Amino acid sequence: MIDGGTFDWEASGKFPTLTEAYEGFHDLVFAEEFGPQAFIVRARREGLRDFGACMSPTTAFHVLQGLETLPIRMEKHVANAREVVAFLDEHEAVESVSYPELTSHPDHDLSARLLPRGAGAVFSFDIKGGRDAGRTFIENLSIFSHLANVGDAKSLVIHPASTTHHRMDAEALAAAGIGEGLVRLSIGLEDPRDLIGDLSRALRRASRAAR
Amino acid sequence: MSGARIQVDGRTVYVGTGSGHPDPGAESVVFVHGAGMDHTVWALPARHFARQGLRVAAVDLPGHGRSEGPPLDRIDTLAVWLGEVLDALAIPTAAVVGHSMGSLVAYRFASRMPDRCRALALLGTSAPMPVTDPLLNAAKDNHHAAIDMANTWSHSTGTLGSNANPGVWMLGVGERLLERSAPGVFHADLTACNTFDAKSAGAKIQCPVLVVAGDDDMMTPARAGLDVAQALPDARVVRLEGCGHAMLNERPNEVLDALIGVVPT
Repeated sequence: MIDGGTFDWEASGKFPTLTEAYEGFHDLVFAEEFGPQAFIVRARREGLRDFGACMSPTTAFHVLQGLETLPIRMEKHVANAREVVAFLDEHEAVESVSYPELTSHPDHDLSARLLPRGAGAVFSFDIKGGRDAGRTFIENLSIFSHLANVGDAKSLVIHPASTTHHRMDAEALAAAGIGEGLVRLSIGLEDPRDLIGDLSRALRRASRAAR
Repeated sequence: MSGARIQVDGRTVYVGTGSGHPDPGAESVVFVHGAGMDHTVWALPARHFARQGLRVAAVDLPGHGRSEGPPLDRIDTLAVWLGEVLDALAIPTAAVVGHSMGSLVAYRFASRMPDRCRALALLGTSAPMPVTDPLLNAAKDNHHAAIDMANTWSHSTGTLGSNANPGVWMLGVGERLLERSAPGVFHADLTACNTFDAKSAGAKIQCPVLVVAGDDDMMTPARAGLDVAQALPDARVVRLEGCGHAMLNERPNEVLDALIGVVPT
């Protein structure tokens, strides 16, 4: 949200919460009290501060700069994700892969219609061997960063059953739609051969530990 | 309400109240803005002292903000006008706070009517307050260059990109405010500063005085503020390191802290 401070709220006559006594702030009139900052002060005091979405100008600059290269980054994210999905889908230590471009996915047709240029780079798969195999797997990855966020330029991984959701037993996890061996990946912009090599090593260790 | 409209010499004058509801006997604090500005520069201190129960009068000088014109182009005339405004508001005595040109109005008011001034705060001050010809001439032509010069020189370079009010564009606030001035207003203000006769201007001032000086002030250098303080019997100086002339914009919290030390409550 950007406000240039040039709009004449009073002349427009359409914004009583800026130009008339406002009960929420003890009859304060924002346009009178803050002049050119009337809108931005109200937006921040009453909207952004309460909800926490306060962006600094520097952050806004980074977002705008990032948007410039987003389309070509997304192409690479998706291309990498497809290679990783194909690898995992064939792997003997993997129970199943949940990625909408696979025909096994329940929303495959919908995805083809809504996301014709690719189903993104965030998906999950189930590793054979449950919770222990999942933990061993993420502990043995070296290129993937072990983080709870998604969409980074670098590849990220999380195993809910041993981290974010470790307090839940198998039944509670199942009720939430999370398998004990479920792993979520967010595929970054690295060389896909490196990513697959990393996954391959960690899967081998995990299946060895599960035996 | 945020402010009140009163009549002075048959013209409407807007006085910001900081949205306070003071008791009838409350002490008063008066704020006088600088050249091309209006009462909104005082939003933080006005609201603070209003919350403390003081009666706040943040005036819009003639031709500024919501007050009718024409602008007055002499500090003496503005000081007389300020007395009339306080009469109209039935404020017998007050702490008077002024920034930049407003500091001269406050200074002159305190000297003309020392018994009405309980305390004085001069922010970004200098006596005399000469204005450079390129700025005066651009303002005379109502050219945007006047706004650019004044606004750029009013801010220290160190604050570029940061604001105590996160997300608010530091330089943009000053620029937009100056752009709101009607033609001729900014030039009248700068003329008032430039013609201010500093000789014996501070005579008779006996009340406690606070001078707030920004070390990086390019409009009224800190040295000039110290000289003003030195000529007064009871003056204290607060220096703001790395701060420019637009101190209410750059360091609102530190300016407020300094004012809390001098404004009687």
